[in-house]
Amino acid sequence: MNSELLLKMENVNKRYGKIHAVKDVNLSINKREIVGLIGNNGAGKSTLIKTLIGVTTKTSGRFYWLGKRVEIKSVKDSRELGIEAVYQEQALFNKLSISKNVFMDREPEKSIGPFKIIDYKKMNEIIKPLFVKLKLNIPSLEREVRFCSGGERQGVAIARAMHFKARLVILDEPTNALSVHAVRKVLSFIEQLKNNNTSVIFISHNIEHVYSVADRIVVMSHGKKVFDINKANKSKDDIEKLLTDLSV
Amino acid sequence: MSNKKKFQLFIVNNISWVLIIVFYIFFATLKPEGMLKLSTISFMIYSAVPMGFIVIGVALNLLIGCMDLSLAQMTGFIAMLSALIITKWIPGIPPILQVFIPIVIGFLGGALNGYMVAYIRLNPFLVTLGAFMAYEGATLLLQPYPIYEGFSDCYLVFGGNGVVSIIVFIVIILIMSLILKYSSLGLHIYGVGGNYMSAKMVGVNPKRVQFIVFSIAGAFAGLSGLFYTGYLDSVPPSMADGNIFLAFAGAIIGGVEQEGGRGSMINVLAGIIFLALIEAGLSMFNVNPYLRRVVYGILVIVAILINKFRNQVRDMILQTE
Repeated sequence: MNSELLLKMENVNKRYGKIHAVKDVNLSINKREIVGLIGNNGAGKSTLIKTLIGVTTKTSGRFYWLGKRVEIKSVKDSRELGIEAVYQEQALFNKLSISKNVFMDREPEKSIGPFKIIDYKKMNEIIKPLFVKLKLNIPSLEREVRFCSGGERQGVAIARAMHFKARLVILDEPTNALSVHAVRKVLSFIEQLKNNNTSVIFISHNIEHVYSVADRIVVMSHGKKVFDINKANKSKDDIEKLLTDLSV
Repeated sequence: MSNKKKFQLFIVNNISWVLIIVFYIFFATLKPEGMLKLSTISFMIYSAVPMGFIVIGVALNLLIGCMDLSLAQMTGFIAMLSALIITKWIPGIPPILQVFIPIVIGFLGGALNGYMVAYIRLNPFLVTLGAFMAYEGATLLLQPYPIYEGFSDCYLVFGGNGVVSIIVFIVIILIMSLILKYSSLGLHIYGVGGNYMSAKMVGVNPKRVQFIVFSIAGAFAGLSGLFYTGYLDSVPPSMADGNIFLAFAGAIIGGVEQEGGRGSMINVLAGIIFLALIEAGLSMFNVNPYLRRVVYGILVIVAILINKFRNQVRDMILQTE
């Protein structure tokens, strides 16, 4: 077995009643690899990812994590393996501070007598170096997230994944509806994740964004994986042509 | 953040306290002989305690973005049921344990509402409206006339003695304040109230949080029943009738957002004292009871307006950061 292999999905199927949303998909992700997952709406990419995160369970197929067969039945299962998802809607809390957002549900605690209380000081101590790593410049961690820009919001969500030592971070349309500047920022976050020894699945329908950071590009259509291309072998134009041919 | 902005933000966040001072000065100017006495002030706070517990319950529910309309009627029901248990059905219970009866009943009542809202996913407004009517009827079914006798001193001291009443109340406010600020549950309450789906996605169990909050709010209705019993030295069947709307006003004036996710216990305390101040003012000027209802109705609306205004100003200050 390839020791570089982080995750292998084998013959994954997902049916919703009569709808066959994911058809016999095989996909592997290496360590420190950024994989772009492209496809139109309804191509099955989100469904495939949901089975991996444990939001929904696959109908059939096998997952291997670091060479070992695993079952993922809930978000908790995937998280225990080290898979973190950063959702399109980012799962943030607008009215709460940045630090509370990063730590929600996994607050560092300290004991005072018989009581456990949230250690706010420690939160800030943990976040600061993370933000430095991500080159995310936010003056105050007390700022409510609703006052953050689109790029910063992604940064907060990604910092959360980074802190919890994810081995694989799944980003669902992270550049959607962002300004050019913010997109550049998010793409640099993704590269930082890789430098941090984390693999990334980058879901998008924007080939431009994916191509600039991905090592490999996987295209799905009608529930099937149709291409699995190493970026080194194809130019962006080639891939764009493949995609155009596909939608015709 | 500049000091000027910090000051502005401080005023906006504590506007309820400012309102208290303004209204107090207003009443005191009109009737200095009554309002300026320390005994008036302490009595005002003392008499607000039973109602205050309902306000706390409402505030907790609002923090998770829900509303339990039945809390006030539940208070009346709990007080009556507890009174019957203590004085008639099981008279031998040790006095110190009697105190816990209304709290436990309240907790269970809140848990029932919470179960229907959180786990069966019924609309909180409609479920608790149903509970509101059911508790109202059930109280009268238990006994349509008051209970005056058979209570132990221990049972009555909580609402009956001003010093005990105020001390217990302040201690409970402080404890709730610490829980909201420093416990995981507290943070999760703000999370679930702020964004239910986000909470779910990051791993918080929002149903559990809702269930717990409804249960705790119910326990506060129980505390209110206990304190009303001591305060009134009896249990009338109409004990806290209609108080829910006033409690709502108190929580909102206290800065709890009706959509959930924002609010603090210390400011809720301000909301409670504000209600007491208005009540004292209306009594002092012998305001006609019908007019009083009009005033309270308007107060609910004004409370929402104040909150809206507060949010806008706060946003303005923070946005320019």
